[in-house]
Amino acid sequence: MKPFRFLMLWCAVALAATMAYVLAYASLLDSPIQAEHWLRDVRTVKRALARQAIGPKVVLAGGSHVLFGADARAMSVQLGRPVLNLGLHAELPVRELLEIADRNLGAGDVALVMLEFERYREGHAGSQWHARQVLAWDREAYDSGDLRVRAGLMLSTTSDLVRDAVIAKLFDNRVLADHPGRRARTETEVLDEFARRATWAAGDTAPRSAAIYDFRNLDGHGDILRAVGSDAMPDHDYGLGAPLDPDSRTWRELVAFEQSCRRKGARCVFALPPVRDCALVRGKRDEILRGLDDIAAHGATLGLAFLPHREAPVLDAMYYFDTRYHLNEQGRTLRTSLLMAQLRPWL
Amino acid sequence: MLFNSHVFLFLFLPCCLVAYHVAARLGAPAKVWLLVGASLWFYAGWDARYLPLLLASIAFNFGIGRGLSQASSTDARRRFLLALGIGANLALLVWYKYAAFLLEVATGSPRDPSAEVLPLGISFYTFTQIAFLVDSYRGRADEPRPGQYAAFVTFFPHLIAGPILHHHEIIPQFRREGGLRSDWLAPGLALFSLGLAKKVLIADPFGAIARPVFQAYSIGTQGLSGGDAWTGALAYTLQLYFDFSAYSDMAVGLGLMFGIWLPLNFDSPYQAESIVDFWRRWHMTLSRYLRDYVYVPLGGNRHGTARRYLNLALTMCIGGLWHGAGWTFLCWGALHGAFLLVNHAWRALRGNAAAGFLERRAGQALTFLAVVVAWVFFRSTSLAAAMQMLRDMLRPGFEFSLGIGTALRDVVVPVALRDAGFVVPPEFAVATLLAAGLLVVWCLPNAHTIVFQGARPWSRPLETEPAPAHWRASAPLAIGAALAFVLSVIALVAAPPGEFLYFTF
Repeated sequence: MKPFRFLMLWCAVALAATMAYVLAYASLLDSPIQAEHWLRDVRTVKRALARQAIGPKVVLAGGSHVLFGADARAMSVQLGRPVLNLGLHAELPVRELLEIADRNLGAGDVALVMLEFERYREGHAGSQWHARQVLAWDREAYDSGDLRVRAGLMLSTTSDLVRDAVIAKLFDNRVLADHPGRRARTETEVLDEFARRATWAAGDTAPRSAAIYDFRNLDGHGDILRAVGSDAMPDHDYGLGAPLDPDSRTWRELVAFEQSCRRKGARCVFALPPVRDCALVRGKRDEILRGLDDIAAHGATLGLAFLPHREAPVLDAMYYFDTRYHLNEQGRTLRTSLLMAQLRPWL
Repeated sequence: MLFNSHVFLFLFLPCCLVAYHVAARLGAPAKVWLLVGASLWFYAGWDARYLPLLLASIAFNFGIGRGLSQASSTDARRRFLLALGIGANLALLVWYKYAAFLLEVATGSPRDPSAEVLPLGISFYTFTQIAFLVDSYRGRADEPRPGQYAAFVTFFPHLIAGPILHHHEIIPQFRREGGLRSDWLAPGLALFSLGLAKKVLIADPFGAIARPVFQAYSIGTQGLSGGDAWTGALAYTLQLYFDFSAYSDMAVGLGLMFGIWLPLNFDSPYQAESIVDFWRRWHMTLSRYLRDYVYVPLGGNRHGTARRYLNLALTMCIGGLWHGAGWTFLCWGALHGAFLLVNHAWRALRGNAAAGFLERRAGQALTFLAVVVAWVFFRSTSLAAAMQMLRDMLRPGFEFSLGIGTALRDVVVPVALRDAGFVVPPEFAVATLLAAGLLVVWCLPNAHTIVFQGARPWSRPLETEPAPAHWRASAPLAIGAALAFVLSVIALVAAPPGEFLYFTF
């Protein structure tokens, strides 16, 4: 074979192998690999709750800070309208965190979005964590994604993950026998079980599952019911000293969401999570407050309204549960009362 | 910028090739300056802070070389210039590479290796240029143009981790006319693809096996077993070979793409039948350098057997220290010096009779064992850690200790396999992988033999070696190389590319 033909053959084979990989990727979806399978069912329940809510409502959207950081049930009672906690997980793409709120918003509704600080600073085209979730349980993210999203997912999938997904697919019966929690329940199955377990009207908040992260621990407002205690965790400044990235994808997603709300006659407002107090934060207090100001100020330039963040921007460590964004019951109560006071002018 | 990074593979290299082809239409000087520019971009992609140092080193050595080559220079002036040139180069190397070590030796206070910053490639470009100065002094060097000299020092395929070039064989090649040609590109691409696969698919996984073991020894973990120690030593032996030879394959392949023959650095060293043979096959350009610019100037074999052995031992110690400033590297060099002495003494005793099959296999096994033992010093963070590991290697048993077993299980047994209820002992998985690696290094041909089908263009002077116009490839090689490339790229997706081990030297 002459060198030129060698080069042509090399290119053809490389192209064919790449195409084969791209096509084969979709067949790895729904692999029962290790992942946060609980999110799939939590999302199913929350979507159902959002569909069922009647009348002008308030929806709280964001990552797990929202999941743990606001008491939608209490807000609902105080504000006299349905309030739903649609918080999921901070590592999910922003568009997925907002989509769950966006799909059921109507005229008169208010969306309160609280994203973790890191999201304002990162492109978040994809993460290895998210690629794992997509292969394990979030086929929808792949199927509904455009080419850019799919390419981002593939480029976030390590070869180890591909290997695990292939093995898990090949031996799915064996894996599911040992790990039943990885089995994909249908929406009906999840909602039936949730309906059986939850006694919303009675206000029963007793934990339903030994695991904290489980849809059976949600109440009828989407709040998770097990957040007690206060774990020791390392000091962290949330990266608030770093310069803001005004071009991050997050901002574009937020602007698009705000415009979508406006089109539907709904209103949209943003809030910043409180910072967990620690020696590091005390030492950099001014810098951190400036970081908060920067986010809100940049949001304002884009037409995004933020609730005042200088009121109790830092909370004592005793109010935090298992991460620097998860508030425990006491923290959630404190935070909720502040949110309600700040939110009233918007209702 | 790493050869195995996406930026290099999909941006830098394609851009360079296209620009090189365009520049070639303007003539050889334009091509050469383009290579210099690309190489400086490549270097700055690592750490732009040391770019001025590299440029200053090139300018200084070029100037000294010019001075040495001038016919009008007196002997005294030339001797002064040579001493100045070598002294300045060594001073630079000592300052950046050995100062902290020497201070530690002098004061006894331990240094913090993490605080030491080594300008990338300094050992390589310093040695390369010292050779140029010595040959200029001897009247054996060409008088390159500034662009050719700068390209010779900085040519990006070899800049960071060799091969250590000799000006004689490289500079004349920069005078060639013409742009990209398929007869250069095709074998270059094949070699590069195989090298990339060696690094990503073979070397890095062996590194993942070796790492926890050496880490455990470096922090003084107690209760490690013979199985742990042998696993660490063998895995590192394979990692280092696959890693460095992969880099060299990629460098040679890249050189070919640009129409430049770079010298070979590896020739299946673990198939060597003696330590002397090993050093003819391992890091061949360093061996050549040490022979020509250290061993021979020290006296070589010209002053009797005892002096010859002393020179050999000294040369190997210097070779050890060249790799890094530390007792472990010195020990590694000294150990190889001792091996060489024994080997030469054995040869003197045994005479020149041809070795039989069994003797050759025994020689191969003994050589491999000696090399593995020496690598323990090379990789260990301290002499104490190395000695402990060697002591453990003398203990019977192949089972892992609890900590290493757990760490290696996570490396070699996929989580999904465990989730499916399969029980794969890590000892079994590691032994299988090591056996496969050893089978490759002992029994299979190396990359350049595969690509050039046994033809040995490197056995002829590179400076006059023409394009491989008669190179013919098989379809399986094209398919294999392309698949190796794609698999490597997939393995690199979402994972930071692993650094080459020789980047730290």
